[in-house]
Amino acid sequence: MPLYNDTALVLRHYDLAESDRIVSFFGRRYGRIRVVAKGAKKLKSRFAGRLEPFHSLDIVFFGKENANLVKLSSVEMSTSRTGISADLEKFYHASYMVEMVEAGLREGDPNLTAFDLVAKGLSWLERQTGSKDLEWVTRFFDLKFLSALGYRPMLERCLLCKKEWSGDTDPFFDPLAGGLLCRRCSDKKTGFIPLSKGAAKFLGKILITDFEMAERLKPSQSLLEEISRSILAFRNARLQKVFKTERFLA
Amino acid sequence: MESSQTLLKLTEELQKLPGIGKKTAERLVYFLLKAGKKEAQSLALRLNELAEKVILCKICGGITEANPCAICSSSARDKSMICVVEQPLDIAIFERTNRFQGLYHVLMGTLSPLEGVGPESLRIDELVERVKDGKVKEVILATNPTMDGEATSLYISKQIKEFGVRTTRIARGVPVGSDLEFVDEITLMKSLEGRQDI
Repeated sequence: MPLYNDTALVLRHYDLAESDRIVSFFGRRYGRIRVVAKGAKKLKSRFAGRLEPFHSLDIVFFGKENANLVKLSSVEMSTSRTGISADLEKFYHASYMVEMVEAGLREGDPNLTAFDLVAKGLSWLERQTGSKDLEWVTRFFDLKFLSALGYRPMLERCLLCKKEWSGDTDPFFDPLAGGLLCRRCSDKKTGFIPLSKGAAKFLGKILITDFEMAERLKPSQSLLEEISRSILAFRNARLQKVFKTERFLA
Repeated sequence: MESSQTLLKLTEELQKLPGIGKKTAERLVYFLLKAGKKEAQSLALRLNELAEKVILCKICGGITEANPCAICSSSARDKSMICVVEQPLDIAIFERTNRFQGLYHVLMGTLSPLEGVGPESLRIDELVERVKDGKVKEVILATNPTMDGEATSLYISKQIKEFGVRTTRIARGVPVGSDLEFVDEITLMKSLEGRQDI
């Protein structure tokens, strides 16, 4: 049977039989995969503590091509994120990121941009302090992740009349269509969210900002609340899912 | 198998048990058929007794036939210590050590945001009530050292902090009889953090 290797994030694990586990990974090369880790619950398992959620691992697995479940052969720690388990709020937010991955990507569907984003997002989350920072990380992640899935909102011009948005007037955000509407076109549609021009520009900045630079971009509380409304409505319209982890977020 | 509804129904029931697939269930049914009436009736009787007599202790949540259980009602146990575990089975594991003389509290699971399991689904309020009465001096958090287990311990420690009881977490580290060469980085790190004077 062929061996495969990948760098992968541990999303979660399930118990299988007495001492085995099924581990759900998000691999850089193979996307979301489920791998059987034989004996993972045993005290002297060679996988042991490495298979906990949010760590980045270098994994080797084997199995028949197109098999539903493959078997884990070896794991090496690439980046441990133990700081997440030491903080309840960070654990909740990281769990939410995992749920976003599961909602947005099918198994066996690789997405390099999304992978890098989740890895950076979890590392950034681990470094943050304060619940406002965590909320900001998560909303920043939401918009970037949706964009990585191909749902990039149109923020440069009006979705209806296609006129370039000048940035001088307060526009509206249409979560269903995914973009801005100018004041004149907003009369023709319903279900949109009023946005201040500052918030609309800020959404645009998120799209072109990398995680490393995001700390400099940190918004005020009122601005964060304003962009959060649009981002969450956009996420709900695109992913059509009730997030179990959402009620745990502060 | 399709010829007998009784066999089919029993196979379906056995398949609901953990680790039992269709083939194993069928093998078990055939075994019971071959073993004879007495064996089958004895098994049925024990299953019935399990359903009728075995209950969960109203105090600790452990498995018992009397309420409260033998541990909770024993005068020999140290009532100032409560060991918090995930499942009723964990009590038996601790009891095998013959070292812990305190009481237990079963949570019936762990916090798991991804599964939608919040604190309200666990027996955390019951634990807080037990701690409130002032007799408890130490709460030992013995949830599994998984991400969910750690989060649950953190949550509980926050909930009982205001009552001034000592809250401890079971040690995590190198297993006895193992070799450092095969210990993973995280376990080794935890063992360094939890090192003790000798």
